[in-house]
Amino acid sequence: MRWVAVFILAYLALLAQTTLVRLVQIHGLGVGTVAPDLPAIVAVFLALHAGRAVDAMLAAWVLGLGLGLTASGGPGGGTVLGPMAVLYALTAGGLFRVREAFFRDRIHAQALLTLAFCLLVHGAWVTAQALRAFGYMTWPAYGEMLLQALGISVYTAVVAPLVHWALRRGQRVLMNVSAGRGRRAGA
Amino acid sequence: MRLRARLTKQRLLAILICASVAMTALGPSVSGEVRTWFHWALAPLGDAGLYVTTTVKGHVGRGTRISEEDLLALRRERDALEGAVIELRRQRDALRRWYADISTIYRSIPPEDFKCELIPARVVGRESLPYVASGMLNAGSVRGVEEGAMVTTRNVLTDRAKALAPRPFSALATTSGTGRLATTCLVGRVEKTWAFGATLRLITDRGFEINALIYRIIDDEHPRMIRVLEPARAREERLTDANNAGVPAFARGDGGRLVAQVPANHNVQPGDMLATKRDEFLPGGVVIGAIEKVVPDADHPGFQIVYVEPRSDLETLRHVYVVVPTWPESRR
Repeated sequence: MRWVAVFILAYLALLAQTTLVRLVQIHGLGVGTVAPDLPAIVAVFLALHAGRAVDAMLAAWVLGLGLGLTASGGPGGGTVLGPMAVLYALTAGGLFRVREAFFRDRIHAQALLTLAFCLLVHGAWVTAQALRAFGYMTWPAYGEMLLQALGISVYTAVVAPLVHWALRRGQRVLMNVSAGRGRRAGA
Repeated sequence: MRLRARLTKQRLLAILICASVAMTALGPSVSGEVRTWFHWALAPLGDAGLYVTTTVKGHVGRGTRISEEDLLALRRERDALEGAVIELRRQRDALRRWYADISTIYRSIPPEDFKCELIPARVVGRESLPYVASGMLNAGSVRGVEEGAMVTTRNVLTDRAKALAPRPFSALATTSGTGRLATTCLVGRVEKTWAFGATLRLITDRGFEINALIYRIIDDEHPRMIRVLEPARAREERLTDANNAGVPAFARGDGGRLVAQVPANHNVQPGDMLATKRDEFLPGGVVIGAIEKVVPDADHPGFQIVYVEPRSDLETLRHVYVVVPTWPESRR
């Protein structure tokens, strides 16, 4: 993993997430505001192509931390920093373990894995934040946020193949070698 | 025994995950502090990105389009107001000099109006996750921004007499959506400040709460009946200027709008306005939004749930004023 390039990519992904993503976010589907989670797509891409699990997890941790840093607000004094970084890292690690079961260059596999990644991360994050704001959250509000997480996950999965295609073009800049099928996985 | 451990990537990851768990346990106040260390990194480029976003969204727009005639009228009004701004700035400078001269005497007189400083700021970043509604301002404590200060839009001339007048609703009720007074409205509250920036919590955020007032619009063509509750009995009355006091409402964001519970006897209807109640941070009468929907509260008979659509377009929000009270004695 070329870490300088990965940090720049993470920064650009976060920048786009906090600004340009507003151009493509959707309202009025009955699940609140829905927008793609670009850092999640990057994390999935790195987990699919990184040479070692620990590299994928470290990069995902950085992306998750960036999301946490730029998402204050929410019920009960605001969101806390930490859960998103941990969830990103652990889920990326899990994805690294199961990636050999998928053809990672297939659009369907990319979309499916991104959907699974986002469902796990966002579902757990919403639950963690709701538990932390226990006195402020209501069950209907929690249900709404879970529905919103579902919407975000589906939207992210839909746009994931496009971002994967773009990242694939610059893969040589991000990592030294592409981990091939059958390469020994593990830290 | 020598303790000699090499920092491998695995160990680094373990440390980072432990630190994240600890940060989670420490709560939002510590998280807020840590966020302030990193905002300097996103603000400079975020400003440019948000400029592109708001410009494109401003042209595409999700609101209703206005006619060419209205557009021309608004442009003429804007030009006139820009001229007025120059004149008012001159007057303001003169008044500041005068104010400095008599400040000693002035401070001995209790305030009748809401004295505040309007600090111009720009939204240079927005939230990364749609579950929250927040932003990053490019003005911080160095420029006088305080935590808890309210933030309003900065669309047109906002001299205090017009924008922050205690009772703008007589004008609002006849403005039909394009009036000058209707353009300045509340968009959020400063949550956290540091030297050169601040975090803005928008009014639609699930953690935003405010004690406000609902102002009912009087329409002579469609008279409205309200129930006046007295100790002995309740009677019905027609809503008039005489009995149209603001209806207290505790509103909170629900992710996309504001929601409040109000007694049904006030007969709040769609189209009524939610506005601020005077407190230590803001004068009364600053518009928050318009009532979009009113439904009976199934769990609490005799109450209604009102849904408030924010008056400002929070998606294209960029230029704002931070309202900082300047008369400490007036803070109750």
